Amino acid sequence: MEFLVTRFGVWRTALSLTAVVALASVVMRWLIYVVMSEPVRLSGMVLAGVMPLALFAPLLVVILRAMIRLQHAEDATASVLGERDELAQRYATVLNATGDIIVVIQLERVVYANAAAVDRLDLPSDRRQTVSVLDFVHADDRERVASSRRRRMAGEQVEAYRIRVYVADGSLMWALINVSLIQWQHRAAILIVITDVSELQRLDSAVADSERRYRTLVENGSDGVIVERDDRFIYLNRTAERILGRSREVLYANSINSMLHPDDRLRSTQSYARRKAGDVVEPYELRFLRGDDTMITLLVKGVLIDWEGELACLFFVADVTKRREAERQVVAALAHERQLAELKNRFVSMASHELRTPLATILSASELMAHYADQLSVQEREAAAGDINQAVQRMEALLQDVLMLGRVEAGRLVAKLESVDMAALLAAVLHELNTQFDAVERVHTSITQDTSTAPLLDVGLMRQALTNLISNACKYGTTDPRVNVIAQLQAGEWRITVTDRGIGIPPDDLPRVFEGFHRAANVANISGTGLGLSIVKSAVEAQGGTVSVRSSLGKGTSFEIRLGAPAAPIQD
Amino acid sequence: MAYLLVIEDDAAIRHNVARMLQLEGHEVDVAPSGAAGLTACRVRPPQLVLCDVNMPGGLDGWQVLQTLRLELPVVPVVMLTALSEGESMEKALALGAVAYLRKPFTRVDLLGAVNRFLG
Repeated sequence: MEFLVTRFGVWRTALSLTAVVALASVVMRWLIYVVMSEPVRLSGMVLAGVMPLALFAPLLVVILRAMIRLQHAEDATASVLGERDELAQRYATVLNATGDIIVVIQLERVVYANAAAVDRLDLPSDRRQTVSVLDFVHADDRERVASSRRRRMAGEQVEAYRIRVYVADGSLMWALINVSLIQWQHRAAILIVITDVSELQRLDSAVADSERRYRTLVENGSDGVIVERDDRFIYLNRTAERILGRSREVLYANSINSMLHPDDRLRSTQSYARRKAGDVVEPYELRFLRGDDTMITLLVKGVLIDWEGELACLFFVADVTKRREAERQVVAALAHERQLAELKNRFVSMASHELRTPLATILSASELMAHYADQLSVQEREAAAGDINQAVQRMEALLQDVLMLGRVEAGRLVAKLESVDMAALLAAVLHELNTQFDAVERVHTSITQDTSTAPLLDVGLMRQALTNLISNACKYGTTDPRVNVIAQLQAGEWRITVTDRGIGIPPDDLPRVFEGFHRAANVANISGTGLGLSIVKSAVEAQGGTVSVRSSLGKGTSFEIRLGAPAAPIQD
Repeated sequence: MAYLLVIEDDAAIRHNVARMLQLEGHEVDVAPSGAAGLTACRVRPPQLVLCDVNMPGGLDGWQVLQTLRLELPVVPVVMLTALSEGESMEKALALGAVAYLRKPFTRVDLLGAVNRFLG
């Protein structure tokens, strides 16, 4: 019965039952009227009227009870439905109030659109049947939507994604799309929540642009930019990579210290420690070994920074190798110029001294002869004339030295090679130096020759070279006056050594003795121009020979000239 | 007439100066080095010393001059030098030389200096 009530409703059931009872009463009365006799008819009629009622009375009770229950149920249902409507209303309010666009799609058609969707996507109810979701998507992003859909269909979880969506006024909006599969009116549907992220996108894009701009600046700046932590590179820009001359992989893989000049490692470590202690570290230079094994000088400016949440050191590095080299050359050139200027001053002072002494001799000798001629003996007059002669020779020699130096400097020193009698040449030199140094007595000469052919020499240059070496040996050999000159001709080569037992040359001066104007520190008051040995060297080299020196301070000096040997190595 | 000493390492100059002074009537001794000159002075103090500045052998004219100023302060010393700088002249006078003759010097200069400082 309850089923009937439930199935067909209270009133329909009641009417039907009443109709059945009435029909049953009529049928029973007709049967009684036909079957029963007249006397029975009355009571039969009464019975026929009462019987169905008696029969249906329990039924009616049940019906009434069902009706009462039903009424209660209907009341309850009405209450539930009312609540549901209210809830739906509330949800609708919320859905419509949200700024997000919410649409439900079923079979490619929009079956629900919240207020924002209606407003922003221009989706009134009448339009929903005619538009496809993809119509709203920017052409370039449709593939993105399609691929997300494919992945979703394949059962993959698809995270929210950003695409450009056309809105009502035809402009584009950056939208964050969040899709879920739902049941909508007992059928599968797609719920799409679209959040306007245009502003976020603009900010993101601004951040990305800014990042790109800074990256471009950093990557292409003229300074190398390096971030270091714990002796490792953790970031390098392109310029740094180029300056350091190694690939990023190699640079990232190796300890920085291992690539620095050993002398600079401590400095690098100390600078880091000082920075960490809060000190400001002035820019400094480090030498770095490039991949091609060349050592470069880097000017390094460093500062501590926070790099991905940890302390690191940011360095700007510049390759100053060429600058330093140029500076070094300028400094060297300047020092050289200064040295030359100083040597020149010294030379002028020496030359003046060297000229004044023979001039004093000439003047005194000539005045002696002029004022006291009658009081002087013939020998004295001859001696005075000899003094003048010697002084002139001395000045002439000085002049020769200066002129020769000029020729050497101008690159115009050319040897005139001819056969030279070494014994005669040495004798002439000693004779020339005799009055000044007692050379004939002091200098012991030894000449040995094998049967080989002597090399051709320039007699003038040889005389100048030997005169300078022997006069030096005499001048600086004051402690023990003996001087040895040994000339040996062997296999076509002359080896001539001039050895004294004099003051020697300090080791510091030894490498520079052949430089023009250079005089050793220990010459004291021994006069000289500082030109002699430079002239010896030029004269010997002009003849294709070499000159070398060995000296022991306080014990003596030995010079060796080698002439005629093919490519004779220089000995020290 | 006086007793003079010439200290000079250059043999020709030493001889010529000494000879000129002898011919002017002085008694003259010579010394070829600073050390020899000082020895001579100690043996017989001269009335005037002529001394070269640049001399090899460890004792130059400046040192001789300084020693003589201490040991024989009354003996005038005339310096002979080939150095040309004014500085050297100043140094000579500062160290107590009475005169400074720059080479090449004339006979007139030489005799003038000697006569001026001989008492």
